[in-house]
Amino acid sequence: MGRRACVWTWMGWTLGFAGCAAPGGVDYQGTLLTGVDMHLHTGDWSLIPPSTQLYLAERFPFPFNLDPEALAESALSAEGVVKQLDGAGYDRGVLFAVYAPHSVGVAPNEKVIAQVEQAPDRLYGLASLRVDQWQTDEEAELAALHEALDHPSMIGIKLAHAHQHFRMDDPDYYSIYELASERQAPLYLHTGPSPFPGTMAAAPYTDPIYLEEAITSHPDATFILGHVGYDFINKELGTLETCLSLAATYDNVYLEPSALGSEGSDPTGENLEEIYRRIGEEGLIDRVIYGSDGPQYPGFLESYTERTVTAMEAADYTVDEARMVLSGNFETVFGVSP
Amino acid sequence: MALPLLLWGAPVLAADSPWVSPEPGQVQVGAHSGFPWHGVDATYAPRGLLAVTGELETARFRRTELRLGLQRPWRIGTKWSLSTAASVGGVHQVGGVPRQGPQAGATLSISRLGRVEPYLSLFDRELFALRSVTTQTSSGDDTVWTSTRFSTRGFALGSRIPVRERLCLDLSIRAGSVDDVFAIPSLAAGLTWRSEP
Repeated sequence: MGRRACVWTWMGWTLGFAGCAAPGGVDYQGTLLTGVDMHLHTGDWSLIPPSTQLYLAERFPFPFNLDPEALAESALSAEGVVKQLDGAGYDRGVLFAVYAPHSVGVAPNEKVIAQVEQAPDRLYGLASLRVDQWQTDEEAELAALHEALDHPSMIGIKLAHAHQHFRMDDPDYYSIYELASERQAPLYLHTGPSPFPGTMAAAPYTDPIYLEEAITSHPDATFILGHVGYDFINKELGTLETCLSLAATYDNVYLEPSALGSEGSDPTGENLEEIYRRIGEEGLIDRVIYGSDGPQYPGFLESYTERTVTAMEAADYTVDEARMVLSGNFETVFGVSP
Repeated sequence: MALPLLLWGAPVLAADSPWVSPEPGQVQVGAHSGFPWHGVDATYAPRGLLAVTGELETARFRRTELRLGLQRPWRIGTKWSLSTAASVGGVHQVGGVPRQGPQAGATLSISRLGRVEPYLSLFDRELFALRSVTTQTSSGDDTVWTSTRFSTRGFALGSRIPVRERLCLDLSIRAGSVDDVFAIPSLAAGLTWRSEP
């Protein structure tokens, strides 16, 4: 979607109506496909650290950046998320719990469950847990994660080593992967350098090669490599090839190319196209799960969908392959259906 | 915007002087309100065509801009007027993105003269945002000031419609960016009063 289209989406939001995407599906080469956005956020503005609040607010359009809390609370609500799903043509979406108090903030499991329950036919949730006092709180945190996963709409686990400040290869945290195996709850893991303040940038926190031992030692756990290792700081492909190699080698590894293809992170759209092209070349289309990392700002889901559709078309994905990316692989991995 | 368009072809009243800039010795003061900008302004031409301008604007009472400057109209035939303006001032912004510092700007406007004056203005304002970072050290606080440049660029499209001999309605839409960030197009309605020349 071009800048001009975004302007009108913004104006539409301002005037109180959603975007202009075709309702009931994502248009791919003239066919309306069912879509699931597996990467969405909810939460409270007040639970985001000030430095990250400023980082986010600076990216909101004027004059909403003058009062970012109001816009964020509206966009992050279940109603706001569903409005964006409708605008982009999506059937369902997945809200993430987040426990990263020193970087991107906190969105507790209870908050996610409360939001999901407002639209149970449209929203799922991924649960998470705190790891910043792991030596003393491990047992309690794992118990809380178990409890969150007891909710029927909480279908997986979200982790972000870079945001939560623990190494990907630290065996002290493998109990989380054991729990994921036991509960058959797929793990979503942020990979690649993150632009947010307070994030760990070193390779053991961002490079998925450091996950290989956990992947091999937990064959019953499913690892979804979020952002496919994209380097958001330099706007480069980062460790994409490592992600592709892991997915090609291990049956329990999936790929999720969210956020990296946004106007801000990939202005020309070339990187997103390259990623879909490389995935196709490696025969890994059945391992890709669509996500946007929204809602970010009004119209973002619609914009990201259009950029993704453009990238898949450029990479010669068939309608059936696009269907796998947009919903089929998600339903297979998470064991859900409409 | 339908009213100004309908009035585009209204007959020119020869006795009227344009609202684009005051006549020598004349003062114009105005106020405008809309989304998200509200403001007041004054223009005074002491002798010739060169006028002194002052404007105070606020966006949602969180971003305030004060501008002082000079303006000069240039007649192009009998139907058109070009106006150039330069200003200096400051910005004070509170809220989610606090920002403050001096600002310099330039505006180029073209107006079609007549009873109703449609106009198009192009503007560029450069803000030099100042920020201090204080580091507490064993020998005391160490404060460093940094400056970051932000550009506000865009256009305003509007129309001035006289409602009394000395009172003019100004309807406009403004679009572009504010501090390098896309700005939702803004709408404003204003009233301008002017003195005897």
